[in-house]
Amino acid sequence: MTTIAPPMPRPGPAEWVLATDHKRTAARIAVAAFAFFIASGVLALLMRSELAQPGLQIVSTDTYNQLFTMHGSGMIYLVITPLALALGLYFVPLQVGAADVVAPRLTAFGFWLYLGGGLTMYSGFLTSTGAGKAGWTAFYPLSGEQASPGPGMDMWIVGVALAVAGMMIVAATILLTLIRQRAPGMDITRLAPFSWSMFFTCAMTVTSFPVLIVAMGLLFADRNLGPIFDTPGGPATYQNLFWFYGHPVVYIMFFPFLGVVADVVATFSRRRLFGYPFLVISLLAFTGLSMSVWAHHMFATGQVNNEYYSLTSTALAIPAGVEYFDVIATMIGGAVLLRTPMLFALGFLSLFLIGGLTGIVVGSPPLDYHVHDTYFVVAHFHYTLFGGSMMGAFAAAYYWFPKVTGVMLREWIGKLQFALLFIGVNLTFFPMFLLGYDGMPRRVADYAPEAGFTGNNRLATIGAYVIALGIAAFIANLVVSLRRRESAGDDPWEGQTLEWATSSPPPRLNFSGLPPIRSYAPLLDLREARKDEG
Amino acid sequence: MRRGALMFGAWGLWVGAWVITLWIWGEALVPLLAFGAAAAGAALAAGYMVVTGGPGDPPRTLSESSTGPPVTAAGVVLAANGLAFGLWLVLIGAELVAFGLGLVIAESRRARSG
Repeated sequence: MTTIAPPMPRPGPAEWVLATDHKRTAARIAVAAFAFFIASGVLALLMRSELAQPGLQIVSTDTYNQLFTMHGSGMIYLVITPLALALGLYFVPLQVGAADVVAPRLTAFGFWLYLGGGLTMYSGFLTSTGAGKAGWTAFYPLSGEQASPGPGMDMWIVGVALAVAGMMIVAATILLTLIRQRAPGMDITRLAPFSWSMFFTCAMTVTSFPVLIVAMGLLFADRNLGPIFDTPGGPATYQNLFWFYGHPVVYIMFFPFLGVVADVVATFSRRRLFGYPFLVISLLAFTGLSMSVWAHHMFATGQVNNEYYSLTSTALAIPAGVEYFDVIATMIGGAVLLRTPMLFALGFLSLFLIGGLTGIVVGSPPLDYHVHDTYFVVAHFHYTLFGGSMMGAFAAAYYWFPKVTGVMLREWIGKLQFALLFIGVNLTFFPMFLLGYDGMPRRVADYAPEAGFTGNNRLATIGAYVIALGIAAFIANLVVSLRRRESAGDDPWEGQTLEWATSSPPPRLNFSGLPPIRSYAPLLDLREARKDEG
Repeated sequence: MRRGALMFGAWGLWVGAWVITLWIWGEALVPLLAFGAAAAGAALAAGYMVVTGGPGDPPRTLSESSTGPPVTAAGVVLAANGLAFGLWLVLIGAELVAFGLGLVIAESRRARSG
């Protein structure tokens, strides 16, 4: 039966800006990240429109360089990582029974730093030389003063450093919350899968992000004070520093959504997560390994130890396989309910699998030499980041929206959105595997008509617009669901973890009382105990 | 707390094992330093948690809102942009940072005095 929920008391503008409650800060990060997602997505549509046919129709090559730089860096630095951390900031305190994060003011400071960094990056478009144009990696010497003169590139460097510093602060406070603010009974071995995923995500964040901030500082100094990387080994040193951040960040953008998917699959399979301890151990192994694979991005430079990085990269398949096995085994024998969050969770599993398996190709030096810097790599990481992480983000959105707002998102629009995104992702990115294998280089605004790339490029462009329709469906769902409110109640999904034990939306200090905590799934324990009694 | 230390310790050991493997395989200094620092960081975190073990933080007063963080962050952003646009912007940013920090200190004192 549909019930009408009373509208939530709306925070005034001052409360939105100044509130230190972890839930408000997380909501601010999520809203800002979604705005940057739309902006970076529009840039992607411009690029795909340009590539729909040979020749330059819409933008110049210089503008195209700015588009792919701001699209890639926007999505990585300003969208997926912040979205993942926003989820952690909102739900980790709820899942561990804490009243707030360790340092709410510092967390709010992290958000403002991130927002300022993002606006600084985008403000580069207003300068005479345009925005950053050296790719999201800003490889040297392409990002040096000679190849990329002007303030736009400087603003990009400053903006990246600020945004990354802001997110590092947020991650540090989440990690400390997990360590120091758990409720009585919430032993660290009883963390929910999502909280475990955030534990390792934040641990990776605080160890890898400082290296990028140093790299950006050195790059800025190189451009403005005097040569630092302009030495025989300088460009490789920059790449080492960059990828020491750049590869762990892939898992920083993966783990939280894997955690979400584990929670969602357990909830909608009406079962306890299969192999919980193995999931935790595999996350630990994955985290350590993920810090050791960064130079597989540098196989083609000839300046790294290919055998070592190939070994560690291939070894990642073992913990990843354990995690997949745990999640799939949870569904086996369960009463699987195909509600919208579950559909997105299944989408995450299938699309990330394609991204993961093609990662084995680029983790093997002889194969990587063939596809290096081609569209194959673009397809691979878009399957992991868009097909994987964004599917996980939408699973989280549909799963936790009722908790955050107290109202349900419309199921039929959610299912329509899922269908559009699933088709759109495959239509856009699968042809890129073929383009890359056939030798189409990435980061080019044009290609020769006789190269045989036109058909697959056209398919990819059509797919990009289908994705855009999917995103429009999500926005429509938000508007419809918030205007014509259907009350969610406190626990609409029969959740297992602690966040479902409080009201929707949760009060300022999160809980008025806590159930007994004897496992990672206290609400499932209660339900099972009642069943045993009855 | 102790089990948390165990997780960090295990992570530090695991990363450390890969650092040693990389060192034996003969890698350049910068990658070894960055990677070694990650292992050392995890080990330090584990040590810190053992030393400060025991129950979690004591009860605390939580503020509803604070003007300090956005003002301080605005100062940092302006000062950082000033590195590209000139000393004048760095100085404006520095003033805002000082003002923002002052606000945070004042708020903390007010909260402590009840």
